[in-house]
Amino acid sequence: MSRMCWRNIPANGADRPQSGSVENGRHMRLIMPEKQQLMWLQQLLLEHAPASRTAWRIWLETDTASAQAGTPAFLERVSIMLRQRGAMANLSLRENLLLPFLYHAEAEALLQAETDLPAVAEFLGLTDELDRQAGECSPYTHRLISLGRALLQKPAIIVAQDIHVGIPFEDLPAFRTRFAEALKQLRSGLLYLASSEQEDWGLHFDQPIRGSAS
Amino acid sequence: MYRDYMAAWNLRAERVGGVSLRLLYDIYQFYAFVSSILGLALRLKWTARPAVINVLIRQIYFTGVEGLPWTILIALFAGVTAMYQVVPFAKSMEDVSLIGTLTSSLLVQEMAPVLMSLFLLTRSGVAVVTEIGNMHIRGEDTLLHSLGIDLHEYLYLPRMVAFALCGLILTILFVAISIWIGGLLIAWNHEMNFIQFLIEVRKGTSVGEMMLMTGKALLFPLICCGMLLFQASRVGRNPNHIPVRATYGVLGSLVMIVVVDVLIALGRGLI
Repeated sequence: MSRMCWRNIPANGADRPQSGSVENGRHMRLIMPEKQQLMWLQQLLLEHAPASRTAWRIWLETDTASAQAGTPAFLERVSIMLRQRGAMANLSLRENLLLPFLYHAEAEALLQAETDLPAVAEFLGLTDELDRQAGECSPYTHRLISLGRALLQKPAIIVAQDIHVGIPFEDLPAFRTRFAEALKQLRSGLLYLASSEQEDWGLHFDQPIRGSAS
Repeated sequence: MYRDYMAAWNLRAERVGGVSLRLLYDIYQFYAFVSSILGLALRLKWTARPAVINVLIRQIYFTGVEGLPWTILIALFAGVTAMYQVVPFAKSMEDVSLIGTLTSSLLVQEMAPVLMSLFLLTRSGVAVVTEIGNMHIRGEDTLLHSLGIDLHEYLYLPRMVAFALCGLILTILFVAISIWIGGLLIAWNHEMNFIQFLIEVRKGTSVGEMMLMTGKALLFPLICCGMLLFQASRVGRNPNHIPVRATYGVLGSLVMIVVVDVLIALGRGLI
């Protein structure tokens, strides 16, 4: 069992800083404006100076160990899907999907990712487009690449920043289905940073947590 | 009246102080930036990362292989020009040994590393700032962070290594081509036998001078690339900053090449 916890994250417009957690198989949504989402992501990504565990603000707990946000051990088990950017423009879709594995160069994980790649590409409907440059592809394809990377990485927790927003109307149902199906396959926990609670994108969130009144 | 006069001078002093402090801080930041990349390069972890090697190969192709025809063209003209200055001068002084000495001092030690650095700067420098700047604007730096990828190791290091390697190889090619072409043209015009010309060049070029050329051929492109990447890393999210940073990068590199070249010449003079 893995659990991503956060503590005392300042919430713009909320009465007091936010604390909470999300674990495998649970879908949680934080409602907050985009500016605050970026602040959240900053907390997740920046490698903070090593501090005692009591000073951690976001961390991942597993059965065996805990990892502070921003550390390689944390980012290995937590997949982050950004709304603005899912792929490197100057790489092909194949290279984008394999990028973290090609960088971290753990032979076993890379081999596994290369083995899983055809099935993931088929699931995403990208089999014929793997050699296309990401810069030539639509933002929708970039979201699919983010999703594909998560499928290859098999993370304990996925943090998605309004990933459904901005997708063309005609592509939205297909993305919705694929995203929900991927979560079912992975059994990962989902922390969805959303700017609106009007739409749940078929993800059946456990509870919305309001991060901001705006 | 006196008070106003002093206040004006205080204001000027404050401005000068502010500019000096900013300059010193920028120099420190540049030093920290370049030394962190060189530190990563020396640790050699990157050699085991296929993603970094892929970027390195692309950069070598873009900077070195695609730049090769231009290098040959520049070497042809530079060789002919240099030899047509050196050989008649040596003949007029009735001392053919000057051919080797002047070729070594002018072409091998000065022209080749400086010209090749300028070539890399104009051809690939602006492209580097634009490419990295656009990556920042598109938020690709955040994406790389989210994948646990070190920006210095993945984006900057391969470009610096490619610049240094290509700078060295292109400079050596430049020297070889320019000397051979210059010598062949001089032989064709019956000014001097080609073999005799090569012997004079060989006599006038010591191992130390070759090593100095090698050092400059590595150092100048490294300085250029360091400055360009430093400026590119400061683009932020505003597209209007790309041309500004590219200009700073190119001008900063030029100034640094000249300063370092002068310092090397002064150092050699003292030794």
